[in-house]
Amino acid sequence: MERFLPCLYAVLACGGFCLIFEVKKPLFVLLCSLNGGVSWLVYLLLEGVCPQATRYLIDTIVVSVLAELMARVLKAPATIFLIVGIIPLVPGGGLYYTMEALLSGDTALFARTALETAACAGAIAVGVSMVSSLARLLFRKHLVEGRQP
Amino acid sequence: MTSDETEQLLDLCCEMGRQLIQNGAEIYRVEESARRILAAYGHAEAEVFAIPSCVILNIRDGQRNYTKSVRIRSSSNDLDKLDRLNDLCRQICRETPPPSEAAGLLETVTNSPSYPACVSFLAHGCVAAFFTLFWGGRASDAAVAFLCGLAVKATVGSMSRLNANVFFTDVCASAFLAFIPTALFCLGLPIRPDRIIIGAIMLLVPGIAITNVMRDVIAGDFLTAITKFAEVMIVAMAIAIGIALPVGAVKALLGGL
Repeated sequence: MERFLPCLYAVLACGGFCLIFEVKKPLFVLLCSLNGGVSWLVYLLLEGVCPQATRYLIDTIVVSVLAELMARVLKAPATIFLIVGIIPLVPGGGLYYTMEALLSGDTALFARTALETAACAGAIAVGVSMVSSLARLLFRKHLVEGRQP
Repeated sequence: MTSDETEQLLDLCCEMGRQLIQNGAEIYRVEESARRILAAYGHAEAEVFAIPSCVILNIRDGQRNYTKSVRIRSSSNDLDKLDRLNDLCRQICRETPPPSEAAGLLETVTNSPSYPACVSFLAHGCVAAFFTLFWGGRASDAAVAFLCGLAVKATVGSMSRLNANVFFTDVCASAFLAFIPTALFCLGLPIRPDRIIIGAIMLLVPGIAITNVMRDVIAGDFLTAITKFAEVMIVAMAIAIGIALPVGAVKALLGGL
């Protein structure tokens, strides 16, 4: 159980982010926070299953699909749920350790952490883009209909 | 449609675009919203161009061209307004009220109050504290992180009042947030500065830009994506530099954290 405690912290931290980003509807706050918790839960469950970057990729895909579904059901922009849900995955730790390696003059460690951080950010970007493009393909019909006066 | 009404419609769409961009919408959403509103009012031939700092609109009405552009400087992230603007856009397309009336509706959305400052301060503190716990900090670390979160909010708030640029704001905010735990650590408190700093920088990490960059690329807005990507890199650099100042000073003076 101890292992999954970070998921609870992720939910609470994402709840705080909802307030910072001015999300006001209680249902939205709840869903955004839960999305953040799910993102870390999936990350933990994938531990040891696949390499780091793949974990981030799969995780982002799950969160993005959830966000798109919430957006469709609630008729709200998907970014709202996506922005808050992705936050626990953003490699803040990687940024810090990269900087620390640079300060201590350890070039090899610096290069490794910098690359790892970039790979994680890249995996998030790829995951988001894959799901967004699929969503756009699936819902294109609506857009064309919407253009008619 | 009279030329007066066309002008009003132009104003409405530009203001809608400006508000959408300022509150964290993707660029394709901005362009599409403007295009849909114009189509709903019978201007299917309208040209819309938007990038994060500018919206340009052109309507052709008979023999005349109406063009308006707005320059966008500041941006706040208000996802509630984004949601309500999105709803309003649908409503305008569905009901096509007179442009002046629609502008009134838009104004009520943009003037809706945001959370009071105390809630925002509390939220910053809690986010920093919970992310510190999240990254493996203890309760004492979380308490210090709460203070760091308040410091970030205070710094960002006062810097924006001074109209400082993003880079300088983030350098100052992250230097300030890293200074608190390193100083307390040097005074002999049993805390882990790295966990606290990582927890608190989550507040500054450009989450919206990272998420929206790829959504813009997918929509084909490469110009916007490059702009946003540059923003992400600059903010990341600013955070690294800001944190390096106090941490580096401690390293130089005391030989490591």
